[in-house]
Amino acid sequence: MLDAQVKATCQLEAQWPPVYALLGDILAASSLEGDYGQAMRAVLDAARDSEQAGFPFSLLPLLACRSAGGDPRRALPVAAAWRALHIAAKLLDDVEDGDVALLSALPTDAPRVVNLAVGYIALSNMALVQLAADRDLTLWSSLQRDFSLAMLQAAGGQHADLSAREGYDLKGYLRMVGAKSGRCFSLASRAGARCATDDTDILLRYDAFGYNAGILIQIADDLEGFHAPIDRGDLLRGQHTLPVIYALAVASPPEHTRLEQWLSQARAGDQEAAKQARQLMIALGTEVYLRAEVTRYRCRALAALAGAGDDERATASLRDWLARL
Amino acid sequence: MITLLQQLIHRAAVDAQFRVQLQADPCQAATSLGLTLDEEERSVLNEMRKQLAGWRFADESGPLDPTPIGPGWTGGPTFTPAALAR
Repeated sequence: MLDAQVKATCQLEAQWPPVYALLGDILAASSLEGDYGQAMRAVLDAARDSEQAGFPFSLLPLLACRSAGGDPRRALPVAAAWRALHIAAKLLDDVEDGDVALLSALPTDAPRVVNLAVGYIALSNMALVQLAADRDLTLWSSLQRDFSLAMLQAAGGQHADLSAREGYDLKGYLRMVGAKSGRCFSLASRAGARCATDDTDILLRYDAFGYNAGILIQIADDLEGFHAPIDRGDLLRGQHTLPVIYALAVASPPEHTRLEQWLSQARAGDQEAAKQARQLMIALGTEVYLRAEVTRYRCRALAALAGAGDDERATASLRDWLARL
Repeated sequence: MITLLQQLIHRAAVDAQFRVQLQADPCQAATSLGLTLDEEERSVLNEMRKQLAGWRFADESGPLDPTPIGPGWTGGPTFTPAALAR
């Protein structure tokens, strides 16, 4: 049984390096000269290393394709295009969240990162265009529209996030996270499955799987930010993530006042206030609540998979992928 | 507006006796507060019962777990340092 699990994991791991090889080939063929080509390559290497050491995001389109009965190799351009878009979104997010400003004092750095993100959006289009040679002539056009629509929706989610950082309730938070992270991962799952089938009912199941996995990933990110050492955590950066939304919702009036005060001081750089805020938030059950929400979205993602494949084995690799979160 | 899940978990955080009740039988614990769990809330809390390490509050938690949701998670990648390297 253990051998079978190890073998299955090794098979999973073997599938994502071609995604980076394809993106690297497209970059090499683009003959980008000077610093720009080097910076694009450095970002690609960092993204690959990050997947190697952490979570295999790029596998999702390939696994969805295989799970829906297709050959994952057919979904390779889709996985590469999705990963390039994901990298672009992460770079833009870092600019918009002020992380670039934290990492560097040079005024030209934020525009440089935006310019690299533009490059990755172009790279995504160039990877996807490889589907023009697919035996199914409708595949490229349908996925091109799907990618563009998902990008628009994610930009809308980011816009809402930038406009309302101070004022989220749970409903608003879930709407924003659904638009940003949920839609991004539903694209990965649905587009991968589209390389195997055009059955709308089946595609909706993969869409729902990816959407709920995307929300789970964002909540997990919030939990990670809450756990991070105080000097690198979300409280000091003034991020109004799910831990803060929960704690402010359940706190008694005196606790609410104290927490608001500590959070405000933390945003101004007071590490002691951030520590006190975190202690109170843990005492209010924040960590347990976030784990419960992670469990909720994991259950929803798994429920979406029920009936998506002919048998349990077909969807096993996607369940394994989700279990690694 | 507080959701039922938030309400139950907050009560478990501040009331050790209720916490034991919630971990033993989520439906009964909710009923004791005059609340009824829907199917999803019931399955979430039943799943949570299995994750004993997940029930950590300040009074019993000790150091924070650096990998809260299992192996393989790195907090999400960020590529900006590579983008800024010269």
